[in-house]
Amino acid sequence: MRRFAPALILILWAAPLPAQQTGVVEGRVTDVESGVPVATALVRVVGTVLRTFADDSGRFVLRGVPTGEQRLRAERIGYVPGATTVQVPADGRVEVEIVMSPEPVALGEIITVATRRTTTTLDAPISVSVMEEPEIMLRVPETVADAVAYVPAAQFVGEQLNIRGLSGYARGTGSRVLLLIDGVPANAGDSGAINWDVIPLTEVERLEVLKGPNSALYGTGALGGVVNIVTARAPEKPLTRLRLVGGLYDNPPQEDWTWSNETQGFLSGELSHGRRVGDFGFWLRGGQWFDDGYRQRGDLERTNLAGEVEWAGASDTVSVFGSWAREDYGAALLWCMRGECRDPYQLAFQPLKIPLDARDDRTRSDKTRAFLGHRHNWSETLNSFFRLSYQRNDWETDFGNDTVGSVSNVYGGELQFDWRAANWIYLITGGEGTYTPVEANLFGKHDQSIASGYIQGEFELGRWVTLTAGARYDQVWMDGGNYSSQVSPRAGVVLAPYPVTRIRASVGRGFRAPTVAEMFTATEVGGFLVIPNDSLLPERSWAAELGIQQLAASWLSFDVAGFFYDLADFIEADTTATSEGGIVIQFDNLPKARIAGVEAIAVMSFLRDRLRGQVAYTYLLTEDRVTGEPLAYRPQHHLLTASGTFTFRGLEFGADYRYASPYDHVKVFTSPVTDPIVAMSVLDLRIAYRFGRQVIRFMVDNSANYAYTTIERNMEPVRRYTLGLDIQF
Amino acid sequence: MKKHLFPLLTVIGVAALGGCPSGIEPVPFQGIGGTISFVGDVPDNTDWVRLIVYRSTPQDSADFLGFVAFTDTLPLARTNTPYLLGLEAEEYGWLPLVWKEKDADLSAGSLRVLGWYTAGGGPFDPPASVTVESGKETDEVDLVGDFDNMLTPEEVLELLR
Repeated sequence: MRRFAPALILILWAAPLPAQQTGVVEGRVTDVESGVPVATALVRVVGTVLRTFADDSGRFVLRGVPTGEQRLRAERIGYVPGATTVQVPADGRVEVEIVMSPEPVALGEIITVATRRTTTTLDAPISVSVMEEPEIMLRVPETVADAVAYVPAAQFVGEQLNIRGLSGYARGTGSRVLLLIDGVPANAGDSGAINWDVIPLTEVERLEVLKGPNSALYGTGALGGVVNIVTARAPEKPLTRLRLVGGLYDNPPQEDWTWSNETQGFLSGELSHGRRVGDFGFWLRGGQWFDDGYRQRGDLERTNLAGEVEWAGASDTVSVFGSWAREDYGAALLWCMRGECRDPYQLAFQPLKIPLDARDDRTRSDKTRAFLGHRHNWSETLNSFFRLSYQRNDWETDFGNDTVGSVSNVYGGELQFDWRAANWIYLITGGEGTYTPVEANLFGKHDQSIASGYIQGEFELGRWVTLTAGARYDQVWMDGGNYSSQVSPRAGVVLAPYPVTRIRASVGRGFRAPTVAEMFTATEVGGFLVIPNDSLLPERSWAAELGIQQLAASWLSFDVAGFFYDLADFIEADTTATSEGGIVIQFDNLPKARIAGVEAIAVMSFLRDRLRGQVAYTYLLTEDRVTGEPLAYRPQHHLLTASGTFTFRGLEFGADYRYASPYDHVKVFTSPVTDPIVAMSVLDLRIAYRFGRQVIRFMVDNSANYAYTTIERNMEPVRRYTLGLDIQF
Repeated sequence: MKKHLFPLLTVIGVAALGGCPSGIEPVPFQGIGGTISFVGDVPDNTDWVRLIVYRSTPQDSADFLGFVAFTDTLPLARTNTPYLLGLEAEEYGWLPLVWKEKDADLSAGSLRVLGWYTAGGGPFDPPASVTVESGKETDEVDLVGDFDNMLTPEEVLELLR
């Protein structure tokens, strides 16, 4: 009972307010030059908490708008903000059109993740990268992870997402990146890992990647950043979308590595349909993916289904969401070393083959999510959001004679209030609770409970200074006993000395409680012995960032940020070799560590915006402050050259280059002969043709067929050719 | 010209930083390989048997700790069991098969020698050296282990003296 006290206090505090006269504003956002609809523009009623997004046809509906004269403002990346004034009748509707002027290179993208409310990156005191649906689909991705890999300062180490080097590698366990789907946490309950397949791609409207520790807003799990997936809302007019993707893997870059005489390929289809009926909006989505894999026994089959119903009344919006995803894939841990498989070339290792005794290793998983949300506008200056969520992860891996698996359930609830207390004050406060029972043959039976309360204020001091200050309290219980607690404060400031300049600074505390998997895993598979550590401490951090966004010319904007993270009791997988030749892994606390760096991003536009480009570079310095050595699995230089895109009469030609310098060191296999550490250097090429609302895309991933690893003895994909067709009607 | 200066510098910067890194390439196996056979009865208190590689024969008991590399636990089949061990390119003077007692600490008292690589093929003939060349496998390094005549470290030193 005690753990939910903050939420109860908030419920009691939120006494009903007197009803006010309101009306409905409907309208359309259009491009002033071409007259075409401006999709996904943020439309808000100035001076209130009321806001919504325009759909694909530029249409929007705002309910519960106070009667009388109201000012509407529309914002969208690539456009100068548009505004208009409207007279709202009592209990009636009014139609309005907002026009926006294109601006090829602009500052500010619309986000919800940085401050827990809809705003723009201009107002965020910390670094945020945004990727909208057209850019997500640009590279014909398989899952959301394939899009996130192109975010500046983000790198996948194996399957584990690293943002600014904060995560390292532990086979996905103990992710320091928090995955949110429309603001609802979605990391696995047992290991904290991110399952990127839980959401069909046609559901994704926008990705927001918040960099650095953000426990002050999101608590444990957000110590290494946050990825928020914003899903598409039901359109005003019925919309069906079919996405077909198929392709082939090329031969290995070295003939000696050939492992099959057959060509390997992949094929997938996603279908979605959405519409509105009166005050109701619906979405149904499903997808199926078959993949032979680019290496031996690397085949995969994936299915996902999702549905959503939303009811929007005058002052209330209720949404119900459910999804289910299943994966079944080959799960060999390592490539084949000499003598472990049949190899006519007798090489030291065969990177695309697996050991004979790992040929039947497979993983099956089922992921179920359900969500109920209720947003209520108490007045034009106060609204609340309440949610209940459930998530179940059930997985099992067969390693020959050994089978390991886990079932975890996450029950969550949250209540948040947004209050514009004055024209210059915006307050957010809320409470959140989760209960996670886990039962597994490699963790045992455990449960973790977390109760949290948070408050944040934004203070607009004049036209050019915005202060942000807030704190979050998290209390963690493990197996019913008190485990730890943490107050995570954060303060930030955004200065706007000129309309084309934003200077941001922030300082805050970070916190992450270890997951059940990190504390209790006890298993022995594939030569790895994992031993538990039930005395593992929570990790904590202090983070500071200073950045500037500048529109330097009509064709160039840039963002430069310096960051510093001081880490205490940092949880890393500790590895030691046994006298039997095996590897022992145990999660342990590094007493002190440090990560510092600089991130620079430039966005350019030439030839009347026909040619767009982005260059991003991150320099990282990491240090274990006890040994003085760099942290494992972190590159010092991370360069992303993305979006060299040339558009001409419906045709788009593009190229993306990703580079990360070799790690200073890795943890498990360290022989320079048999376990080489090389740089990541990947060039992708793409072409697309748009006809009406349909798009056909062709992509060559890893066009140079460059052979590299991001973790030991696991080669990354070879060159592959992908054809994608996106049909909307 | 100014307008094109930045993208030009960017391209040059990318090329300078990225360059043309060389990825993973095939690595020929470098080390020794052959077969291992055992004679005699395997003791019930066997923990493991491994092939251990030294640069030279031991002169005193401290030299037993100066090994270069060792194999995983070997299967104790009597037939010619193939094995492989990756090694740096150099000469190795002593390659014994070492037995460890079950439930005993790893110390000289719990170890016995079953034989070593010899030119003559007998388990306790004079030791033969093996040379590993760069990028090559030295094969036919065949050994025989004798469970009925296991030697203590002290007996090994006596025999090799």
